[in-house]
Amino acid sequence: MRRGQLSVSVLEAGIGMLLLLAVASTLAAGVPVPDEREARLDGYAADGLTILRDGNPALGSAEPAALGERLDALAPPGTRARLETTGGTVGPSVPSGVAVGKARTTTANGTVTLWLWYG
Amino acid sequence: MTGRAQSNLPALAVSLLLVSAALGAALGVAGGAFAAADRHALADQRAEAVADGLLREFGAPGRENALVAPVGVNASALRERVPAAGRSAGVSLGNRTLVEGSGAGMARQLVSILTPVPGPNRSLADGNATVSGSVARLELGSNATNATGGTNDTERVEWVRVDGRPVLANRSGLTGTYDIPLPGEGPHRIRVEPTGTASRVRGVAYNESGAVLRVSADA
Repeated sequence: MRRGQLSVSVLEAGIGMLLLLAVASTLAAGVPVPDEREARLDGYAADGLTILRDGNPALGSAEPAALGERLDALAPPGTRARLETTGGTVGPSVPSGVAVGKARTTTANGTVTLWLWYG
Repeated sequence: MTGRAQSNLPALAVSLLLVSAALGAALGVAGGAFAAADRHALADQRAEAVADGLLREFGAPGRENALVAPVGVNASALRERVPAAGRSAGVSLGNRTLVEGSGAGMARQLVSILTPVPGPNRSLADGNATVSGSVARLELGSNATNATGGTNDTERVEWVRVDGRPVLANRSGLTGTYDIPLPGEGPHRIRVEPTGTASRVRGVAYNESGAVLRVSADA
C-alpha cells in the first residue's frame, strides 16, 4: 500500500500562513477597537450627570418633570436622553441596535443613570 | 529528478497562493488595528488640558462644566489665561468657532451655557422675585448685610420656596450658592425667607442649554 505524501511546499506554506495569522491576530487582539460613537456618548452622558448634579446634588429627589425639561435643554443637538432616578424616569425608552452612551452616579437618594443616543 | 520537480509545481503554486492570501488577510487585520489605535494620545491629552483650563478660567463660578453667556473666550484671552493652549489650539462651542486653530488631538465636552434672563426680575433683594428662566441661581447667607450696609451674622436665610413649594431649607441657615431647576414653563415665584427683614440675597435666573465644547490641539 502506497503511503500518502504531503508536499513539503504545502507544509511550509501552511506553517507560513499560521505564522502570519498568529502575528496579525496578536496585533489585532492587543489593540481593542473602540466604538468611537459610544465612547463619545459615554463622555457626554458623564458630563451631563455632572451638570445635572451641580447645584442639585441630591438629584434622586428632584421633581422628574423639572429634571426632564432641564435634560431636554442640556442634551447635545441631535441626541435624546433618558434619566432614571429613584423618584422616577424621564425620557423615551432606550432604543436597541444603536450606539448608546451611559453614565451612572450615586446620590444621597440612590442611583441615577443617564442614557444618551443619537436620534 | 526532472519528473519529480515538475510534479511539485502545482503544489508550489497552491502554496504561493495560500501564503499570498494569508499575507493579504494579515495586512488587512494589521491595517484595521493601526487605524483603530489611538495615535494622538499626547495631542488628545493636550486638548483635554486646554478644555479643563478653559472651563476653570472662563467657567461659571462655583459651577462645573458651565459657561455664562456671553462666553468671552477669544484667541488672546485663551492664550493668556490657559498657557497650555499654545498658538495652535482651536476652540468651538456648538456651531460657533471661538478660537481658530487646529491640531491632531481633540477633546469634546458637554457643557451648560447659562444665559441670564433679561428684565427687572433678576434681583431678589427684597426676598421675592418672579423669574421665567429654567434655572435660578441664588447666593445666600454669605452676602447677607443689614440695612446700613454692615454685616449681620444673626440674620440668615432658612427657607427658599418656588411657587410656594420648599426647595431649600436649613434651620441653621442656608449659606453658599444654590442652583434651583425651575419646574415647567415660567414665570415662577421665588420666595427667600430670611430671619430678619434687612437681609439681602442675590439671585439670578438663567436659561440653561447644552452645547458641545470642542478643543483641538497639537502635542
